[in-house]
Amino acid sequence: MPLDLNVRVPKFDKLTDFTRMAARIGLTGFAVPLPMSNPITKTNDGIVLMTRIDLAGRGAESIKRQLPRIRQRTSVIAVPLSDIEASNWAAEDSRVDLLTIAEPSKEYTIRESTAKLAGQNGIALEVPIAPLLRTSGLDRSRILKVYRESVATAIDSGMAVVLSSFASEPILMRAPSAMWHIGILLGMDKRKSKECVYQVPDQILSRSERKVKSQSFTPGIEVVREDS
Amino acid sequence: MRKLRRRYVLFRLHREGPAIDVHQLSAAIRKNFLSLFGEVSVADSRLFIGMYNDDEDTGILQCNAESLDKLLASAALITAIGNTQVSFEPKRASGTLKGLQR
Repeated sequence: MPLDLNVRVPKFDKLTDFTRMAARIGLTGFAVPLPMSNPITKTNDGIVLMTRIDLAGRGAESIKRQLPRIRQRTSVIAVPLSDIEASNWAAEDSRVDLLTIAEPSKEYTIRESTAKLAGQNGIALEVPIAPLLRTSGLDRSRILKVYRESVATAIDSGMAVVLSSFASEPILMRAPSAMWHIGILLGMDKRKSKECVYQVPDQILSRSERKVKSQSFTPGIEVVREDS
Repeated sequence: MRKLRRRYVLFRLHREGPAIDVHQLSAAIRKNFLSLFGEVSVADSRLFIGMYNDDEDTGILQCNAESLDKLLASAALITAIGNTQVSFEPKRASGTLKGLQR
């Protein structure tokens, strides 16, 4: 199931345009940063809509405070790669789904140690495609450098990679077949690139469905007594 | 001289804005391909858009098999052609035209 985990729908009234485009290009669902009553819903067109939150704040402490409140209300939780402390903390917390290269122009690449931790906890590296669409020439080559280095580090460290559009307009969304070709530009082979588009987002959705259930616990926690 | 293997790709161009013609499309793909991979790659690609229906925004492009993935990646990164915003979607690839129409 090809899903786009990062579509920047600005308002609810624009949602129909994005849903229509998703159906046209062959996506089965996408995640939006809008508050919805259910973390995962299905539209009449059969498109799966997921809620997404990008945890941004000043350092790990701020992110830690936000996380417990939102996990059961949100299907995709992403933490931008910026501060090393926050990134390393997020890479260890399996409530987080994605580490995002949010500002490729600032040349933040993922560190090997962070990628290893994230790989062990099933957290994927998210590569947004929109910056590649907005730029050209030298600016685009700088972004490609950051992306290619990060993708290589993630794959070598056993971390999954997800390609998402980061589209703020429907026309900036890309078909899954176009997305995996862009993955080849990021240094992946065909098989890996298809996996990033068709399999990894689907696995994140399935895991999310389990996480948002109230009976779900983080690995390592055991129920020792239940009050009846 | 080694015989070049060709690939044919059925594609759809989603657009917002006025229709574009085959020359504009082919120039836009070549320009992006040139920017990403250089002059030698463009020369080797043998890109040719044989068919393009601007009512349905679908077409068939042909190219050298070795350049196929790079070429489609370049096309996928095109956002606008003239005043028309576009999103390129490769549908199916085949080694023969007949295979594509099947």
